[in-house]
Amino acid sequence: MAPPDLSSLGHAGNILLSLAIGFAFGFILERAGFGDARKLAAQFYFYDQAVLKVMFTAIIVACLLLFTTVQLGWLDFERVWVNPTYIWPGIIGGVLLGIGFILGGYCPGTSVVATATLKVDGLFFLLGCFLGIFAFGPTVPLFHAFWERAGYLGRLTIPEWLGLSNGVVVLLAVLMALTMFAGAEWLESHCGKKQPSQPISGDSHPPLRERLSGKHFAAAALLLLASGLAIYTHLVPDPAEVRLRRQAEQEIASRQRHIEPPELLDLMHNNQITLLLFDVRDEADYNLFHLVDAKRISRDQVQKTKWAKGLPVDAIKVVLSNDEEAANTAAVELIARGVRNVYILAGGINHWLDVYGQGIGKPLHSTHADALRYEFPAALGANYPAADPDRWSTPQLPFTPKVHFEKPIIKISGGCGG
Amino acid sequence: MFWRKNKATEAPCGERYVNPYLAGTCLGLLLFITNLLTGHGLGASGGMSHLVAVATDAVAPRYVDHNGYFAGLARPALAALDHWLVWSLLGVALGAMISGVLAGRLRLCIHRGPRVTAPARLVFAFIGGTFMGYGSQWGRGCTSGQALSGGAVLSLGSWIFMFSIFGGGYALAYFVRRLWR
Repeated sequence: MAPPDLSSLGHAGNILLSLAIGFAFGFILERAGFGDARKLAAQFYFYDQAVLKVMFTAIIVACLLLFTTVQLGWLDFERVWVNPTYIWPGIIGGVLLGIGFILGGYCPGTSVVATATLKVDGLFFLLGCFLGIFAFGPTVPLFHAFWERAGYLGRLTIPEWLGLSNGVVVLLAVLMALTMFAGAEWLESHCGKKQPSQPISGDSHPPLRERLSGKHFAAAALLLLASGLAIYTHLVPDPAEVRLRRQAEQEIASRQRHIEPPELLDLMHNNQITLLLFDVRDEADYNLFHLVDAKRISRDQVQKTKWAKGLPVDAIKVVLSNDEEAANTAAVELIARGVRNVYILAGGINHWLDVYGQGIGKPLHSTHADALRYEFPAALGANYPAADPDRWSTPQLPFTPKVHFEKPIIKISGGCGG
Repeated sequence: MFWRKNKATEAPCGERYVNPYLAGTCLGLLLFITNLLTGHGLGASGGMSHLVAVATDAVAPRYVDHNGYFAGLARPALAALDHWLVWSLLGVALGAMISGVLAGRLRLCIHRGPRVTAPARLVFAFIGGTFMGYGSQWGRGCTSGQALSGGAVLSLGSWIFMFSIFGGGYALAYFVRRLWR
């Protein structure tokens, strides 16, 4: 599955790949006329909308293809660099770029194109860029905290933000771009240098077949593909989720994620980690007895993707039920939704009470699967000593540690700005 | 002066450029393939940041020792220069030059509006570049690495950034129209 491991290309191979990508980038920009500041600046005076057309065509084409391959399971989106969101620094930077654009006529990439084709204004712009980048070094300490934190939302895509599927947002982006293209065409024909495109003689309304051109068919094809993707997203489960679910089921079947009570006790007393205990039992059982700081969550809760995505990545999550059945199911749902560091208490609350519940409650003969095997005199919740056993007075039992801390995948750094 | 001599050759430039929708489609395909192969998009200002930081380190290493921003970008110097952003920036220059040669556009000249003198154009290009360079660090990328590449992977921040660029440009366009029209 893409992106592939490129280390097999070797050092020289990777350099060649970067050079080739840059070469194609520069070639296309020059072909589009982006080595000419007048053409670029014309965007802001309405008579030539090439900047908007090239940029948004590129975005929707790439976007449609990317999310189609993601949906087909050919591309692992987790390993694709998504520029993290910093709202306020982004707005300030964007406005500064807009000012630079209208004063100087280029952007960093296009000024390289202009310089490479011997445009002296491009060279001056490029030198200005270097000065501007340099100026950031001495001035960034003045506003470092703001630049690092203001409106920081991390890796966040528009579909995640809106709570919509990727396919629907791609379709919306295509619709928006096509609307803007129609507006751009209208602006160009009304503000542009008038050129007699067709001799106005006789019939001013040629038949529809003659008014349609290649770009109309291309627009229709894009719309069709984007609609297809949007529908397909809703018919077929997310391949990333399917993969994670299969992996979770295997790990749970081989008991790699089941931790014994002594290990959980050790985690409960470890101040270096954040521990989240999720109790997925009925409210009645929870009220009778639960571990200290355990949070009861319903079985529907774990199916809520937005809630699951909001859980802190670096916390250890342990799922508890009376036995293991409900906990296993809940853990699979969590892992399938991309939650990391999920574990299950082996044997559940019953096994915990076997180990730490001396003197409280009476063992019962289990009537059905995943039922509480102990009887409690009153619903005291976490007020039983076994809910928070004293680590020092209880015998230290040996265990084989199973918790190993999973960090998020270190993403390939990307984009500009370093 | 060379810019006076080339006046006549500037006119036909605009006519021979590729259809913007076609160029955009090619750029979109390139961006898609780049993401598929490398897991990241395209970039321009990032390569420049590396060059600036390494140059600063060469001139004033003591200063870079005390500036976390430059130190993070510049060191180790070999790795900072051997970064994919720097290589692809070199590729951009080569690709543009070859395309310019093939199209007969590799010509020493200054692109400027009809009502602005060549020296004034160069001064404004330099000032604009300064804003652009400074802004690209604020925004953690430029039109290539942030707006285009981030836009294609539907990053929320990149779309905000993109509309801020257009907003800034349109807000100021009327006041500096003498530069271009």
